[in-house]
Amino acid sequence: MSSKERAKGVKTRALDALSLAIVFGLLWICTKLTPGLEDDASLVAGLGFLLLAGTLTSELIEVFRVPHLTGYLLAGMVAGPHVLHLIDHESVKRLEPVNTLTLALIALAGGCELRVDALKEGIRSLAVAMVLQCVLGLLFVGGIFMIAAPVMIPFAKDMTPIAVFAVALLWGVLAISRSPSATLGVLSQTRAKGPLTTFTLGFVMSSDVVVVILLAGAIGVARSLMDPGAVFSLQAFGALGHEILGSVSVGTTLGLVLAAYLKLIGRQLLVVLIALGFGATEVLRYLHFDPVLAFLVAGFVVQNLSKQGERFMHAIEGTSGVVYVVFFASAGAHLDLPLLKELWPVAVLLAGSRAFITFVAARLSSRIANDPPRIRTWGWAPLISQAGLTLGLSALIAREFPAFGGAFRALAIATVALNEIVGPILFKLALDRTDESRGQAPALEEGGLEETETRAA
Amino acid sequence: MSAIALLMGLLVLSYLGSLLVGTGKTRGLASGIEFIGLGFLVGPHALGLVERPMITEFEPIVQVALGWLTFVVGLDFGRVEGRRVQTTSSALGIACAVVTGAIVAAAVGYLVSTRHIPGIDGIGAVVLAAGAGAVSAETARNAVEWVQGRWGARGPVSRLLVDIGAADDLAPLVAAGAIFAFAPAAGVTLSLPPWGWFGASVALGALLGTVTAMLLRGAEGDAVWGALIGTLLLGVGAAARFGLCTIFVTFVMGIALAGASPSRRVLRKMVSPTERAVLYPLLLLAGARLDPTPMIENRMLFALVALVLLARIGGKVLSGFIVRATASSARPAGAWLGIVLLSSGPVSTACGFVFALRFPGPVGDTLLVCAVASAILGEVVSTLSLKAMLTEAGEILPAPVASAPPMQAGAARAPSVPPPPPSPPSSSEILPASPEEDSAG
Repeated sequence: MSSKERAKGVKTRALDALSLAIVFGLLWICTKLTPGLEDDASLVAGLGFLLLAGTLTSELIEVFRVPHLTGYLLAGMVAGPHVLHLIDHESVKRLEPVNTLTLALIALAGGCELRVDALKEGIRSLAVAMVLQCVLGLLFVGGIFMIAAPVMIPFAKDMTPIAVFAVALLWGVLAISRSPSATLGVLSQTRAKGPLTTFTLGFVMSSDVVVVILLAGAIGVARSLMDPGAVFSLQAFGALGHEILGSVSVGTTLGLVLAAYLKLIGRQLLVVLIALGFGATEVLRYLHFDPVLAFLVAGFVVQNLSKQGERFMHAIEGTSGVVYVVFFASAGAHLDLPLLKELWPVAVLLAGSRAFITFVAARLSSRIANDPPRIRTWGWAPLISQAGLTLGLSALIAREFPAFGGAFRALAIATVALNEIVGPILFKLALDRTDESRGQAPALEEGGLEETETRAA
Repeated sequence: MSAIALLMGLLVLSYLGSLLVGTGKTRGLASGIEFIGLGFLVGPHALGLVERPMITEFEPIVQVALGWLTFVVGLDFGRVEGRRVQTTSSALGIACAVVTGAIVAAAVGYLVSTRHIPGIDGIGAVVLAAGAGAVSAETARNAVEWVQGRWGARGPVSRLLVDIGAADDLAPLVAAGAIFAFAPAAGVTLSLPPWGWFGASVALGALLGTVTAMLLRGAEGDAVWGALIGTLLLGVGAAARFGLCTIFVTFVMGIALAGASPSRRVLRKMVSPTERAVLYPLLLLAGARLDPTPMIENRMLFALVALVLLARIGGKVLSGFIVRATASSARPAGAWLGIVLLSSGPVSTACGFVFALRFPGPVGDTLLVCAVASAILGEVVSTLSLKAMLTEAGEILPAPVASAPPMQAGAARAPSVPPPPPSPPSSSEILPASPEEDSAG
């Protein structure tokens, strides 16, 4: 029985609130009585706190019909180093291995969600949307950046017009990146099914690859524009081709091995997933392949080339429930709120213009591709979220262009913060309005364990 | 070896451990010391494949794993295979552990007060003496269960031994909690007497156990695991920040959860299969953490470990007499029942490990060595003598005659071999225990 059918009682909400207060109180006491402690104990306590506070906050704000993911982010933000300082910077940084595992699970689940038959049906829609979103998004947001640069963007004020154009190009590519993690985070909660869900998954997962290719080209162009001595080279594309082909090959092999394991043994999938998340990621990084792409392909292979897709998906969902909470709660703690406070006017302008062009491009592409009404009306909403992928790309740009990279990244962080907060709410709203959310994944609902006992009896 | 390679190795061990759960198979040794040996072999003091900084890097995981083990012990405390342990057996088990622990602590206390051991003085000496008592107090029920599984032992003596082993975990864990209360963390701004810190440990465990019970109201699937793991991590982290004993806090948490949650039976069935999956990697890391250097540099510490073993033997022999004098079902066991009680297992190793983490240096290292030495002694002496004793008591049927036809041999063995336990249940496919399981004494 889903929670839609079984509304939570006031008593349960009150107990959740009491538990949340105890959890916050306990960590607050720890922080006050052991000040300045940044050791393993802080890390372990912080991890447990994020897991509990994230879950409980999401349960409590559920009444506002916002996604659980927003609750996780909120708990992290409040407890993080910029508000209550219950969790310090060091602990947040040391939680990065959780991100590695989460990204692997997200990519595997994302690949698993992509079904060839569904993709075939929507290929025209996806292709049109991809082209329009990329072209219009890049041009429009890049253009806004160029206009705002002399007056609102401190690091670009003294740049030459050519240099501003180069930076705007990079920003434009950043603007067309989406968030696979936020998409899957919302979908794992809502267990949505339908045309909008299929379209979103197909678009967001494939845009990951497109953006990586576009960024490689944009970096090459920007470098040649900013440095007259530099020559535009196709070498970057060669390396990129190697990376993409290698990732796809390894991913295919991994997918086949996983399918065989599921069929022949099929036990202890939790341990297998953890080993994949850490071990295989490390090996792929060592080989200079893209772990996200490789896992995406592996999930796709398991789903489409074997009969083990449902089983695999079920195992990933069972593991990811806990991991997602920590991932998004630590992302909330990581949000640089003082920076957002400082850069909010330009961040709002850039995030707003990105949302606007996403909406326009989605409407246009839906009309051209003759999409079903629900995609035509709500197809833009899932594309607003930005998170880890965008931050990763901005870090890459910062590394490639040290002269302005730091400030560029700070602006990207501020903009992503807005999109990370607003995007999942819009996506959940779209899924609710289109009736694609089937009901929440099992959470702290009424009658769970007790009901299990009763059922069994 | 990189940290990732070590992690992969630990995951493989965890995988192997989890495969054995619910199969009824009794592979390996009863105490799992082969994994400690393997850990020592790959550790910094033998082959050096795993270096000390890497072990230090894994300390947060070790703390959590130790906490999880004792949480499972707490959740199932006073119960064996779904039935309640009789009050008299519980009292007997706790009394035996207290007697043995007190004898060992007194012996070590006498040694450290009469002979100066460099690096061990003041509070260190107290911790060493009391800690030696704590790590030596337990009788592991694993050994009896192992013998039951391998040779199909069934009867009042083996049942009593399992009950004693299940109840006596309380003594070493409470002792560890009390000892840690004497040495809170250095950076704590609050000043409390030792009994205050001990009370704080109990309160923290009880509070988190109750919160977990509140969170689990109506929880299903991964939400259950999320609540369990979250509260456990918070408990371990909070306890470690104050310098409290993490394994005692999580033990209390387990007891409190079992007391407060109406879903305790389902929880036990969910959580129990994880014990081995956590235990094997932990034993490997314990082996890798073993540091004989203080003992090589100071032979008095060698003498101390030998004294601990001797005192433990004395304590357990005395415990055997107490058990025989008070429990009529133990009479067929014979005069050397105490030797059988020497088996030592996960709780002792966990105690030794937690002391090694909290008191790095000669004190902690020596206590971990004591715990491992007790496990080896128990493995060498206790398991085989247990088999001999149960055979003599008629609780293990003699092996079939070699010349007998295969069918007859099978027929003779069949009644003594218990059927394998069912596969570990998932949260959604758990059958309730029968009413008498919960109330049976």
